[in-house]
Amino acid sequence: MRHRLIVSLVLVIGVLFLIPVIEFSQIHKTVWPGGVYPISGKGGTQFNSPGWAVLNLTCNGKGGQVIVEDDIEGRVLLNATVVGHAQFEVVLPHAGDYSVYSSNSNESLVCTDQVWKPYATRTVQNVSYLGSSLMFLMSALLLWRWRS
Amino acid sequence: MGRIVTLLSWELNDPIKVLITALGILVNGYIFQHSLLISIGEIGTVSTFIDGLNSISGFVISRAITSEDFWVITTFFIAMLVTLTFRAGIEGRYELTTYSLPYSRPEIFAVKLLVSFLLSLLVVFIPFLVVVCVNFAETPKFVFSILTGERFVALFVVILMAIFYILSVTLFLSVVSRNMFAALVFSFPILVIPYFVSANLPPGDFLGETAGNVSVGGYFAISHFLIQTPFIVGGFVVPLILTLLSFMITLRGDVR
Repeated sequence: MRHRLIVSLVLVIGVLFLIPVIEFSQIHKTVWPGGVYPISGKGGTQFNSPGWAVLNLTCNGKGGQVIVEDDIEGRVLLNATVVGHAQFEVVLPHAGDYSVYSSNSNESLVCTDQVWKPYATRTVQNVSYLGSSLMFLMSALLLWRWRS
Repeated sequence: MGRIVTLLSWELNDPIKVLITALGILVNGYIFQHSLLISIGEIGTVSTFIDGLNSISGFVISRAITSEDFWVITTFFIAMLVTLTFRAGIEGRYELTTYSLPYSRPEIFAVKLLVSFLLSLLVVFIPFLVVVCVNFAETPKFVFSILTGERFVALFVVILMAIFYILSVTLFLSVVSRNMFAALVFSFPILVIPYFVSANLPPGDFLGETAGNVSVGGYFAISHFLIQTPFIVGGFVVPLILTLLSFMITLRGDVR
């Protein structure tokens, strides 16, 4: 059989499409400890989420403003004023970059963040399952019809 | 040209090599996905006024693709593939038949080199591309921009250098030694032990340097790393010399 490599590559890519979902299901109870960062108008923190996740944000300080932004889509997820102490739970909608900063340059806060329970989003699951099904079908078709 | 393609097709569709490539793709994909999920990236006190901040997701992806776990396993699969390509025929006694066909020795060597390079590329890049695309499926434009950015072009060059180094060392050993197992037994310590003892040997040193460069957020450009000694020596000069040496040995030696 002369197309052995291509047929087995298609089959293996089908399995590969399933790996993200399998791995997410194994580790979705994990918590990633973040860090302690000063948040002010001059700067903040930028972090990455591996999937859908919950951001636990605790802020302390005299007073100020906290903004959590989705950097990829440019959407503001949280815009809140903090006086003294505040805790937020923000849903991070997808994998990618997020940043925490403030728009008020005079006040300064110290924030702690943790990312909880990442999960594959619906789109990722769809791509994973549909892609692998398509690849399996294609490998079956190739095995059935592609003769040299 | 058709006869070269025939030889290429024979070499590519060898059952045991196809099996090793498929297994390598699966294992590498699993390890890559795991390190993508367990290594979260975070940078504190970045100024919000600077334009064109590097993407943290980009850092995490580059750290996962240059991680030691990934490269120890990749070394195993690449060494197996190269040794099988260059020595399985000799051990199995069918290489004499290939050499008796109307192919010149440089042609056979070039085809074998091409095949081992191609299969190594498949083992590294298919898991990388598929897993990254599935993970960031929610934002396809972002994936495209990150994969075609300058930092990632540089990263791909570094990965090619690492593959070239692993391939050439294994190639040299499998051409020099008289036994497939001897070649494997010598190549694993040379290529894998530097990761465990943090020795400054390629490809671990320039992969680690790349990962470090990327994680601290330094500006990472092609011109920035190509002039550094570890990249030139470990990624280009030594592999080229070893490949040329093994080419000469193949030309001179007997088919045994």
